[in-house]
Formats: sequence, structure tokens, C-alpha cells
Amino acid sequence: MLSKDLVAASARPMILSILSQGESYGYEIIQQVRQLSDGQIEWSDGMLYPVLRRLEKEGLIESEWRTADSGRKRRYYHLSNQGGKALEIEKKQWLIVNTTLETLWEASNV
Amino acid sequence: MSRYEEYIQNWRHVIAEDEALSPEDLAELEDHLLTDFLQLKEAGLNDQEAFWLAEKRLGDTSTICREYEKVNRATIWANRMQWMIIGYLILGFFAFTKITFVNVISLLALITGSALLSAITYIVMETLIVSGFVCAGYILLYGGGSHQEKSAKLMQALANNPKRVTVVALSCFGLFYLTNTLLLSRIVGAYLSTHDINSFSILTHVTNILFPFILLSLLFISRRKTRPKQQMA
Repeated sequence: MLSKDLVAASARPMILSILSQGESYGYEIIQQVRQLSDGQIEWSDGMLYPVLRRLEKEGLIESEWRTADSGRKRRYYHLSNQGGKALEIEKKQWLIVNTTLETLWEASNV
Repeated sequence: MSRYEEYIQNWRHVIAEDEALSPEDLAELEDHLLTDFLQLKEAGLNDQEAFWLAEKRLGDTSTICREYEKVNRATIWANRMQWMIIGYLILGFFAFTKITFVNVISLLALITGSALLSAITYIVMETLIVSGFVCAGYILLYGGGSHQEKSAKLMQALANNPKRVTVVALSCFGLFYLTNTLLLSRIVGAYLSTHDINSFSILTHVTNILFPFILLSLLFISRRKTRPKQQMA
């Protein structure tokens, strides 16, 4: 299981990346993360939504309520322009960390 | 599905106690629970099992509320301020009604010289002011929170009828102002003719005259706070 801090830190880039592929809603986002990580990353579902709230407040994502055919209202999220830019920055940062760690581990293996 | 209604009511009741979630946040979490519940039922679980698991997967209620609180902090405090203002205004309403009544009775007592009228004045005055305090206190303490639905409806009613609210407030203040001025002029007149100016008495009455303007401005400030929120929702 991943450490709490790692889960918290990776939530932002993960949500932004998922939304960069198209709009989605909370439940779907959680399912995708679970699927992509082969069940290794299990977010406690309720924690996703405050994060989405925070991202929306920062202007990185936007939401709208839509009524499905069943009559239920559901909140859909999509990435904003600002969000796209923020995602690029996150990508760069994570790749830096990743590359550095990989180099270190390769060096220690040899 | 009927058992689901029962479970979701219980869950909603617990989480709404904590003021951290806005009605929209609550609706979003409910949608999540329902989606999960339906999926689990399709997987073969019964109503009770499905809801239990869905709720467990959602996570610990207090942790969720703590997180929402951090994000919604500004809104939560704005909401509390609105309730404090409403409580204050209602207290003001009771105070003014009482003072208006006292003024009328006092004027009559001065004119007719009746002691019985003064006695009645004090009894009514005390009853009104005590009920006012109780009412205002209740609203100050309990406005919002688990009474969120009722308070939201009241806020909506106030926001949707700004003219009506203003007319009621202005009439209340106007009546008070009129009776107070009449009484003040008689009292000041009486004092000036027989005693030195009683500064404390005059200060009390001057404050009473200024008070409505302070409350009026609060009413307009709270109205402006409600308006923008409506646009966002």
C-alpha cells in the first residue's frame, strides 16, 4: 500500500491527467485510478471530492451539474486552460523526481 | 430501493450535522453512494450489504468533513455571520416592538396619569423582551447545521422578498422612531422645565434613535451577501 503522503501528492496530477483525456465525474475517476493501478492505488472515495473542490477553487478544473435520463443530477468535471498548463508543470516535476530516483537506483544496482 | 432511502436518510442526517458540506457537496456524495450501491447490488449483494460496503468505501465521515471544512472555510463563516446577523435583527425587532409599546403606554400614562398602565407596560415589556432573547438565542446557536434545510428555506424567503423584508423592517423602525420622538420630546420638555438635563436618560433615548439605522445598514449588508451567492448557485 502506498504511503498517505504519496497518495495525497499524486492525487492532483492523476486527476488532472484523467480529466485531460476528457470530462468525467467523481465515481468514474476513482474507478479509472483503481483500474490503471491494478488496484494498488485505492483512494478512500470520500477523499476525492474535497480535492476536486480545491482544484476547482484554484481554477484548474470546472464543473457543471447535468441531469441524466434517470432524472438524477450528476456533477461533471473538465479541465480548464489553466489546468492544462498546471498539468504540464506537474508532469515536468514528476519526471524530474522519477529520473533522479531511477538514476540513483540503477547506480546502486550496478 | 425503499431500504436505500432509509439508509441514505440516516447517513445524510449524520453528515449534515457537521456544517462542513454545502448542499451541493452533499448531493455529490449522495450520487456517489447511490452509484456504488447500485453497482454492488448488481454484483449480487443485498440492500444492507451493498449500502454498508458503499458507506465503508466512502470513508470515515469525520475525516471527510474535516477536509471539506478546509476547502469551504470562507463559505461556512459567511453562512454563520448571516445567521448571527439574522439573530441580531430579530432581537432588534423584539426590542423595538417592546420599546414602541412602552413608548405608547408611557405617553398615555403621562397624559392620563394612570399607575395601572405603567404596571401593564412593565409586565408586557418583560414578556416580550424575554421571548425575544429566547428566540434570537435559539437562532444564533442553532441556525444552520442540522437545521440547514429550514434555514436555507428562510434565507431563500428573505432573499426572494427583499422589498417585503425592507418594508416590515422600515415600518417597525418607523413606528418606533415616531413614538420614541414623541416620548423624548415630552420627557426632555418635562425635564428641562423642572430639572437639570438628565444626561443618562437623554443618552439612552438618543441611542435608541440611532439603533434602527445601525440595524438597517446590517440588513442591507446581509442582503448583499445573499444576492451574489444566489448567482453562483
